[in-house]
Amino acid sequence: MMAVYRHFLRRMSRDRGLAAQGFAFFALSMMVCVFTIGSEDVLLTAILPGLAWALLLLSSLLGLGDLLEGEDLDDLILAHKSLPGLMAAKMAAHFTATGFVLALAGPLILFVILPAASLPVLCLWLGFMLGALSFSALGLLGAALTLGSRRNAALQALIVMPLCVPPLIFGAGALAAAQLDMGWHAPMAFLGAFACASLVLCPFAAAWIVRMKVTSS
Amino acid sequence: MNFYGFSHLPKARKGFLNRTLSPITLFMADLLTLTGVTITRGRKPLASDITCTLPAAGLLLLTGPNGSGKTSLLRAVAGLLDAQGSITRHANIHWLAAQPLSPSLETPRQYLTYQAALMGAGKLSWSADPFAIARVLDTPLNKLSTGWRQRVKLSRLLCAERTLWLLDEPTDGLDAGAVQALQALVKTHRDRGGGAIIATHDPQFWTDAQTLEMVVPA
Repeated sequence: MMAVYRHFLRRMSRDRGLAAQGFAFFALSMMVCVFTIGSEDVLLTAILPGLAWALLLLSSLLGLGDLLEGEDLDDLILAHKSLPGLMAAKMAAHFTATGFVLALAGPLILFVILPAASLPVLCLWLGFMLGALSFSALGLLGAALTLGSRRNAALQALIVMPLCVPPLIFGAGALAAAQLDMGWHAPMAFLGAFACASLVLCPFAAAWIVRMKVTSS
Repeated sequence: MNFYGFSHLPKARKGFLNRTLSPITLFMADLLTLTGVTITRGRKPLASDITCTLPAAGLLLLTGPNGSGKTSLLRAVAGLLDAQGSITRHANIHWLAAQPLSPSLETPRQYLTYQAALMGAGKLSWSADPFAIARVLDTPLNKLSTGWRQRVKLSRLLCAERTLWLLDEPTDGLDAGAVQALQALVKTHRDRGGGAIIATHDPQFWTDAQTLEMVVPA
């Protein structure tokens, strides 16, 4: 399974430059926002963490358009491995190429811009990790649902966005609570539960949809 | 499948061409039976009421004009397309689609390792290199010509052992030498009891074969 995962990751990060694309999008948007909002710490501290969550979601959606497109679906269906397992490998590769990079680098960028004392480190990193995991899982589901349709990137965004609202709310909520020195464990626990559920369920759903779409088209 | 004792075969295997007689040949049973198979794309039937049998060591050629449903029939046999009628496979399959390999930055070695992993063959190991791809194994696919990419794709046949080969236009883009290599490979496979179904526009390349002439539906 590692060889399969490495192949997916190579295709995503090297052929399509997904990691660099996502990181550049995230970093440049943050930079531009600082220019437009101004450099007052109070204002930035209030706005930027929430904005970082929104940007994490948007950059996770990058690369979903051709996540499942391409010649290799037949091979995946006929493989001597379980299709949900292969879908999970796709999801893991997408997470590594987009979400993981951002979950590591995003908080660092925030630390550069904002005064360090105003940021809850653990809540930020943990939230970004769990959030990016659920975005990748839901993204896989969206990619499976729009398989074979033309101009599917826009359709995917439309399908995936509403599904991503719960982790977005819990994650940003936990971060805001932590910034105000309030308890952030409850929203983080909800985010964790959501991430676990989507990680387990989405590969099965995607595998079922992919098999059905390929064999009936 | 278990009844014929095939399904335990294709797990981890070293390159198979130099191995001794495999158990496939001990069961000279039919590899595939099609009964009244009809495939519909959209509303019109593409292939209707096809009945045929592929014996062990058999070769079936699918010929016919463009749009007559050769690929669809192969996909149905592979289980990638729903069809009416009964398709009974008594063997595990190798499926090689007609689409050329996409010119990615991956090297043939990486591609074949991935394919071997997908087919449950463990590590990539060769005992034979009929398509002479050894010297391009580490050249990225996007630097290779169409013919060489086709050779790499055909080399998948050596990544894992399968009894029934389904090849869609395998000679596309190949030079005469590579076509000969493919013919020899198919012959070796058949000598060991394996079978093949080949959709092709060049039936003259293949001897000792049954032919199924497909027609474009009216």
